Amino acid sequence: MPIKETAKIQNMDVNLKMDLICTEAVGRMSGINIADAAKNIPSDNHIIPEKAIIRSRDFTFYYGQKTGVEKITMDIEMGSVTAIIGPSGCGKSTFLRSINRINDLIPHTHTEGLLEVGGQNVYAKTTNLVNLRQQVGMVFQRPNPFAKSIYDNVAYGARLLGVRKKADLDEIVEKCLCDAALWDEVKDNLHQSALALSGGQQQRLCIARTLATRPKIILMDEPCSALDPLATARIENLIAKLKGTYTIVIVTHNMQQAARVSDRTAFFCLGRLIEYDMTDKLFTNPQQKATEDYITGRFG
Amino acid sequence: MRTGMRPVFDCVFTLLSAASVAFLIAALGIFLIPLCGKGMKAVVFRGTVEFRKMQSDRFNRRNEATLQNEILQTQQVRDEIYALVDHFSRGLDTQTLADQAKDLYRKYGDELRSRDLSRQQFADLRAAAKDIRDHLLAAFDSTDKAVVEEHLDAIEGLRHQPGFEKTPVETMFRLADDFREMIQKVDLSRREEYAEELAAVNKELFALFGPRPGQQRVLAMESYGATRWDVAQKHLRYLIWQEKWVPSPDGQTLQKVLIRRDDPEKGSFAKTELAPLFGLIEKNLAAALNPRLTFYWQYFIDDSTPGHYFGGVGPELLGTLMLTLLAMCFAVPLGIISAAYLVEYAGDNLAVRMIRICINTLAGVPSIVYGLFGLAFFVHYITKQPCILSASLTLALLVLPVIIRAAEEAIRAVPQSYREAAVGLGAGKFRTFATVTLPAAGPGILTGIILSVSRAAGETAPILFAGAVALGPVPNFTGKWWFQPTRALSYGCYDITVGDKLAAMVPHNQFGMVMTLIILVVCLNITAILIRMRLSKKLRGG
Repeated sequence: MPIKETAKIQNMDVNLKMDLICTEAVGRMSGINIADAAKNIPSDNHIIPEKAIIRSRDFTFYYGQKTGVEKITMDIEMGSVTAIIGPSGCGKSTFLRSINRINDLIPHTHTEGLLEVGGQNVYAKTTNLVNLRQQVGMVFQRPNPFAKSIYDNVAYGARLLGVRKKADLDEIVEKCLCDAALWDEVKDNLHQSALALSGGQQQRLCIARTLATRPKIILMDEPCSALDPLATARIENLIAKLKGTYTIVIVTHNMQQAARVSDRTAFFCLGRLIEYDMTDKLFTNPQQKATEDYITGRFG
Repeated sequence: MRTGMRPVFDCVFTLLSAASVAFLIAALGIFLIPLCGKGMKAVVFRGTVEFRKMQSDRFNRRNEATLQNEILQTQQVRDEIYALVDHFSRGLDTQTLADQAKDLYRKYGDELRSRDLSRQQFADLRAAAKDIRDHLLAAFDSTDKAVVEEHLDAIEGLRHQPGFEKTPVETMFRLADDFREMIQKVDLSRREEYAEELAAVNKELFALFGPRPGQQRVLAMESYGATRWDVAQKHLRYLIWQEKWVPSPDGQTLQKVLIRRDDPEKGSFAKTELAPLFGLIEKNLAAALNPRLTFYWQYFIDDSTPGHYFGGVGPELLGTLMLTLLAMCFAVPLGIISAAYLVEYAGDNLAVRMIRICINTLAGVPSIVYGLFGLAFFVHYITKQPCILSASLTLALLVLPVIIRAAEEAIRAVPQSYREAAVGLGAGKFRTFATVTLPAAGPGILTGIILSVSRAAGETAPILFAGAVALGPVPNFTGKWWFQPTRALSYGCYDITVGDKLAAMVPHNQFGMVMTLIILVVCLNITAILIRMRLSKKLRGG
């Protein structure tokens, strides 16, 4: 990568940077021709005309001159849980973060193709980012509660929506914390700092905080990668609980997790969507050689 | 071989770093402890009765009964001293004597006129009195003992003439007698020298005991004697010892020597009536001043007389506080907004990089440059006169680069995930900054503010031309207070240091100001550190 390019994306999340650097290495190691693989994708699986809340058509995301993801075409079903798996640097986070345009924080990026949320073009000039991000909530890889009290963390989103009354806020906070299965643990010290919570609790708090903006979609970027198995199990239970009410897109490195929680699974490699199908079908009977290699642990 | 050296390097490095820290602490100790020790003398010292008089008059702090009692007691001792001096100076001060003689003659003339006398008698008496007067004047005027005695003898011859009983002429005779007595003891040829030395003695006496009862003084600093025992000791030294130029042993040059004024060999007042004075004062100084250990905590709130001769540093302290806090009011919001712009909004282009370089350069510009800029810009164009506003604007300008840099670093250090979280919830850029990034950067920004508060409080050069004065009104908050000049600790300290001999008499004030400044800065810092601790505790989740 030219030095200039590196400088341009210096503010980028470390994770993404690593992804970009790893991309080519993975390509070499896996010994598969991704371009070939992508060519013979049976794309009928990718498109679910009815019930689709997120529609992506030939969506390409550029970091400067470099592509993050390339020509992604897939639909995500409303109310379902969709897992995105793939080796590091395959662009799954990039795709996820494009959905609510959080990638805008990184300078010198642009996109091609179409990405729609609820029939609205995300990258249209007229998009109201505040509305978009309130509709599409996000949970990050590392728990990142604000350095505020638990109450204020959850109320933050509600206040953004313009809720000012104390009684309303109290109600929202309680409901969100209940939905995030955290209420019983924290109800007695809501005004304690959120940073005093354990990692798993923090992550559930982040989910509760996201719920407070009443989103339709929740994006989860490896939400359990910093948690122990017990906390992971709790989050997975929570995902199961939230399914139906919310559309959940989850990026994960853990294939068992993807198999456990998701209805559909997409396999990304080197910035391309290789395979996208019902989860049990993809794991038991992958159509692509690359997918099979990956899920059987031959690379990645 | 190589790995063998590593522990040695480790050891050397540890030792060096420990040594440098120890050196720093030692230097701080060596510097601060004597400084504060000397400064403490402004607060804790042996105060004399003059000090209590001053407190009573100027600040209304008194215990009337004890004070009056004390004044009476010390006055007794002083009267003894004054009597000695007066007696000696009466003979010496021929001008006063001559005036007295003339006055007496005039009075006598008036008396004669009111008496029922024949014209001839009146003329005779008056002529005789005039004769006596002229002889007296001539005697006073002369420095030759023989001539003086001749004149005095002539007066003696007139003494028994009738008609002078119980008139002012009798007093004239007494003057003559006194003078005769005096010339026996005093070398008349040295009268000029005596007068000069006596003036010096009187000056020091004045410095010790203040004006005599009934004597009125206009200047505040002349209203009291030595208020502090250490100052009194200094004046005592000036009183007893004189500087004389004597030929050096090689006979070529003169050299300065210190000798006692009552030294039997060389002292100016050797073998005169005044010689016992010095022993007397030396012995009775404590009784005349009644020094007592005083804890003068009001030092920090009291106004002082011009030249800081008496009183405290209240206005200076208040002025410094006002200047510093006002400067912070300008610099902190501006600094944070600039830093926020540089980090969050400005991209990374040539102009922004130039701005960063400029800020870094400004942080290192000598403060006198800011002072001159303050004069040339704020004073000339904005306030039109040196005042608090222009001074604090100049100070704000001085600390702005420091604050911008600290705030920039602090804001940059806030994890990107905080911003992502806020943005992910739908917050806009400004809202993210105001509600998430800024609070998280708070402790770091406060560190920068702490550094700049200390700097702003201690700087002299920027306020030198922009609004600090040595003598000024006590800061108050009525009317347009920001258009007044103000006193400040740093400037006052500078003023005493570059001052004249009078300023050399108040080193305790100089050090007292430095100590006050240090205490002020430490207090401001502790406040800021406490706030920072609270903030970061909240951030960490305590």
